Amino acid sequence: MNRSMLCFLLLLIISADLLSQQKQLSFANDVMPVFFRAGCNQGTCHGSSRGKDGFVLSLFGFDKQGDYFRLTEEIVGRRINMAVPEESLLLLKATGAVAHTGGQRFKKDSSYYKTLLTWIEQGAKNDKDQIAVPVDITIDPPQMQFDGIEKSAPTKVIARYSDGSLRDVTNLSLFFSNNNNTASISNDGLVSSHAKGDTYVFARFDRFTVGSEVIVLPQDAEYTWLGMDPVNYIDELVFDRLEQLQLNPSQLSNDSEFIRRVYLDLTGAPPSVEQYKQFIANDSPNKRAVLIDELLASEDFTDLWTGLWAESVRLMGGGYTPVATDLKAAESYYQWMHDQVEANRPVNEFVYEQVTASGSNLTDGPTNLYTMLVHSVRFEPKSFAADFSQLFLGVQIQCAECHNHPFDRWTMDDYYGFVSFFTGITRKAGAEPREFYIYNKRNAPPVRHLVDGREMPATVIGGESPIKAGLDSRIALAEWLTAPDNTLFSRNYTNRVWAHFFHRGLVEPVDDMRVSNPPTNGPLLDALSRNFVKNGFDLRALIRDICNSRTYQLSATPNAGNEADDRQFSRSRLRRLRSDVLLDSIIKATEWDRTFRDFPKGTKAIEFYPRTPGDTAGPLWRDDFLKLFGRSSRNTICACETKSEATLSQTLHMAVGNNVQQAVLSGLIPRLMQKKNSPEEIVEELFICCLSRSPTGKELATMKELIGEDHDQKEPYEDILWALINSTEFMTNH
Amino acid sequence: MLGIIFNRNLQVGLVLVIVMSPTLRSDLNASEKDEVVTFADDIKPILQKYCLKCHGNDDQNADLNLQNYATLLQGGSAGAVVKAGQSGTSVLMQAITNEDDAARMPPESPRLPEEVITLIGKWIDTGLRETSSSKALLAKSTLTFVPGTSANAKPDGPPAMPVDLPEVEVAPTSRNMAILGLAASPWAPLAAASGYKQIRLFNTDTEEEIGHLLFEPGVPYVLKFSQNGAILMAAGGQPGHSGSVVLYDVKTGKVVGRFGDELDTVLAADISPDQKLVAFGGPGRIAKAYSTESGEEVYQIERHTDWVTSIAFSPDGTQIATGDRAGNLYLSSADSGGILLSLDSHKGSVRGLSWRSDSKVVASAGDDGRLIWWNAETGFVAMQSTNGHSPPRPEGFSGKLQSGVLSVQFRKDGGLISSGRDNLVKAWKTSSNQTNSLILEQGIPIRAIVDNSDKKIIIGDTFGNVRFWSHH
Repeated sequence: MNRSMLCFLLLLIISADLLSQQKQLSFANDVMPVFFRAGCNQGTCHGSSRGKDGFVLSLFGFDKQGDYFRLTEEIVGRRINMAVPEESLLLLKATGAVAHTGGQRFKKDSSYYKTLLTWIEQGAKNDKDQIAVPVDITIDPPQMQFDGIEKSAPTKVIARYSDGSLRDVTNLSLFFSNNNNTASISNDGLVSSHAKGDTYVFARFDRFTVGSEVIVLPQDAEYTWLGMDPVNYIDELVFDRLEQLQLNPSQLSNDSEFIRRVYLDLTGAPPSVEQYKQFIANDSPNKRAVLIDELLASEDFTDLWTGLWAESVRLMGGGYTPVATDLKAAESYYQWMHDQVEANRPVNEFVYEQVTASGSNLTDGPTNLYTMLVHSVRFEPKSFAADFSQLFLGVQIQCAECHNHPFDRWTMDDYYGFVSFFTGITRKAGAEPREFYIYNKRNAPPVRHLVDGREMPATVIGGESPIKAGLDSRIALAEWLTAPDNTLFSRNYTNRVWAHFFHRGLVEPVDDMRVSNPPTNGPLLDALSRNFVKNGFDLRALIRDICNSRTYQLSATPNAGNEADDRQFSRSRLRRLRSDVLLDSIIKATEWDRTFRDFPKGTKAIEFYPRTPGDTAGPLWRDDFLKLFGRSSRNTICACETKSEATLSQTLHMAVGNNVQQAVLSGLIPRLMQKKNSPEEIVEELFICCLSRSPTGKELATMKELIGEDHDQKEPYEDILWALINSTEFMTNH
Repeated sequence: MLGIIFNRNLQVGLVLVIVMSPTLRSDLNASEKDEVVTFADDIKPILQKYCLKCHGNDDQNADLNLQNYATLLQGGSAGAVVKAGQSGTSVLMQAITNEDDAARMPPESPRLPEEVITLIGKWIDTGLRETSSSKALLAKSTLTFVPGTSANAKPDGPPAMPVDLPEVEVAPTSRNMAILGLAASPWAPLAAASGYKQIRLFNTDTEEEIGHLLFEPGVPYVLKFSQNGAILMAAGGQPGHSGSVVLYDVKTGKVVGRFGDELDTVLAADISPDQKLVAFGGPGRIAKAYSTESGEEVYQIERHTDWVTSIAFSPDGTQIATGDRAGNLYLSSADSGGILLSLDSHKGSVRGLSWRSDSKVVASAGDDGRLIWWNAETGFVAMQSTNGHSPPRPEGFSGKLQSGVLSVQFRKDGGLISSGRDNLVKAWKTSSNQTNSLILEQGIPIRAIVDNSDKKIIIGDTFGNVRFWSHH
């Protein structure tokens, strides 16, 4: 933008502001923003659903008509005094002239006071039907960098209205920072740097939130890029970011680190001794890429990815027929998913088929999206819509059920329009008690808006107008959802895949994508999403790119500058294994023939899902080990149901619990001893089984001491195996 | 005949149009026809169309069978679904008008047509007749009333009228203050209306403003005359700051008493028939009674859970009715403040209370849109109108309408005047729902009362106008 253009823009803004002094003030555009800015309508004050001290405002102003009524007409003459405007209780309370729980919100000489007083003097009028409404806001500058701490720079917030006009709303906006330790932002939009790092500051106005990225670098720091060359677009974008933040990546992982990591991430268990030895012995330069392809083609990968999908859709089988989640339904859904993952069905098609599925829950697997997400006797469109949005878009639209989303752009209109896609979903009793036919009833009435009771026809999230109703509105929904240009969908899925490999999404938590929770590396998420779409929503292609990147293959050992980094992927993150992967790792390492409740022998933990003779509503694990180690209870759709925190009971269970005891006493050690191996060889094998590496000289010496001269005793080996399984090295991916 | 007074202070641009509906509004006409609604002729076809699939002889969800008159009255597993005369509390009515789409009957269907709902409501309210020859199940109305048996007799001598009121300087205002308080002397052609820091006095015969009294505490929210017309009580104050009650001698305009030192405006108040007690309340959630002789507090009524919005002593002086913003309504002993009955039905603020002159019935106006005649002896609803002041429902709209009833006052003949957010002032007959009504084109009628002749209705609105409507 050239200078004259900028001046013109500025003039527009200033003159618009001047004009507003004379013209009739608008309730929605002038008065309500004061409530917003002064905090009157926030959740802890009058914006609470019960209000505060007898006065209710809608939260952040979602119900303008209701607010106008309560202010002017609910108790006439009290809050607004038309006879003597300056004696309106509204003004007396806000300026602290009378006792007010919220104290003084602004002073009598402020512009806020003047706005409210003028509006009352002008007759406290409601807006006519047609007024310009804000359509978006921008923050200027959209990105800022500080060279040194304790420095400041201003920001400016501009709102654009539906009539095309612009207005400087900096003094009507609210500001917050995602990390006040790095950079804070004042009430007036002044940003100050406090420590090296990167974060976002945000401005909120009306129903919009907009962010500006802030990077704080040390003043006059010496920095040279020491990293390796990128091998693909992922590395380029990650390394760009690291360079910008003056960080250097760790070294590349060694072969034993890599093979353990890639086996755990792609097959859900560490490599066997043979797999390990074969890989280490191979000296081909592209052996890592070859191994990645091999594992992606393996059955274990299919099992792992099916298990992850099953968990995310809350797949469970029960015996209580009215909820439609019968064992047979669960089985058919699981089997269908397994087939799709095995055939590498493009993710868009995979989702499309589920969204539009009709038929029997027992024989048409994908229809069970409409039984498993719900787990209740009555199909509930509202909770289904919320779960659907969280799962496939990463958007928590349910916030907008009672008020516009406070930290995102979604409105109540978006919410109710979206719910209407599912008001026709019917589960009709089938030929036998376990069976239900799932279909979308045509011409089902849409839901009504909470505030004014309007009918809200089916509309996609963020859609301008309702979809054209065809035979089944879900077809339009699925078309929109899986369209190549629906970045909500592709960003959500690629972010979830990324999180699987790095134990942290670019957006975290993965199911809370919103304007105020931006990715730590925006260009990278965009590129991943773009490439995913370009490659035809090919899951394995996406994973291949990720696993082949230098970024994925970095060592977990930090260098001098990147110890503090836990969001820019400058080194591999230490991560605790998922409960099912941990259990499968123990099983694979110890050759234990553990079985799972209600499943055939040979079932892996990752393939296991809860099967119960009873109801599937409520938290369900059906396996104590998995429950203890944080497996999802499948009670809600939330990604947070899968936990990775360490607990004391986990430590105790690993030390003395029956699972580890049985594992240690199972087949591995007798087999190794039978082969008449030397103690050194046995110890070596145990180390590789559990930790995917050979023991160090010191470790070996200690072990030999423990074994002693009498090589025929089992117990010392069992002790070693027990100790290895109990090591942090075993329980983490690194 | 219609009398109109345009306030002298009225500003250009705020000229108000007041229109007397020639006879009645057409929508009222429809529901007021004296046609008998019966199960056989009117209700059964409706039930057949919408309900019997799940609640009929073949299938009885919730053990409810609506196919036969007898089983309908019997109700379902949760008890009776209809209560004669009380559509507002009948489960059937609640089920078909529920605003929650998921809970409303019939399930997964749009709301029943308004005329169907109205018809069912009328059938319940008129006593659940089975056929046109059967009797209404309605208990005999407790609203029978014989004027003249009331306790308040006309005082001896000429009724009090102001004589030579002192000239007072009234604070200028940029607009008229809305009429928040409005009262008429029971015996003299005198009305008092609230203004900013003043009380405006009107001669109701000439319909002229005849003087002013200063109200020092601030804005008067409540005005009432004592039963003999000699004392004018004004209660109010400054919002969020202070509140009190002031008694004036009507003849001289002199202040004869002042009570209460509240931290917020007084929103509700009354003076007892014997003038020995003044009771008042407000945002403090406590109704307090003060002795006018000693100026001491006599008792408190502390059961209210929200702002006290209405207070009225019974004309016989034995009871006091107090209502609050949450819809709680209590009858208490006027001597001790001990609660006698809890009148539990309003779901929104109680905006007005009025006793019938025989002290047997008290009427309440609610912001929930209900106008209720309570039997003060039993605490039961004797009669009610659930949509007495509902604005017409726009096509396809099922959200909340602002349908509040704002004021209520009994006439000497046992009839009733009410005003509401639909901008209507209604005159109700003694014992049936038949009404006459007047609509304000602009401004909400906050208060509507009747003058000493019992014929002229006086209306105060949000724009500060006082209007007179001759009606009988």
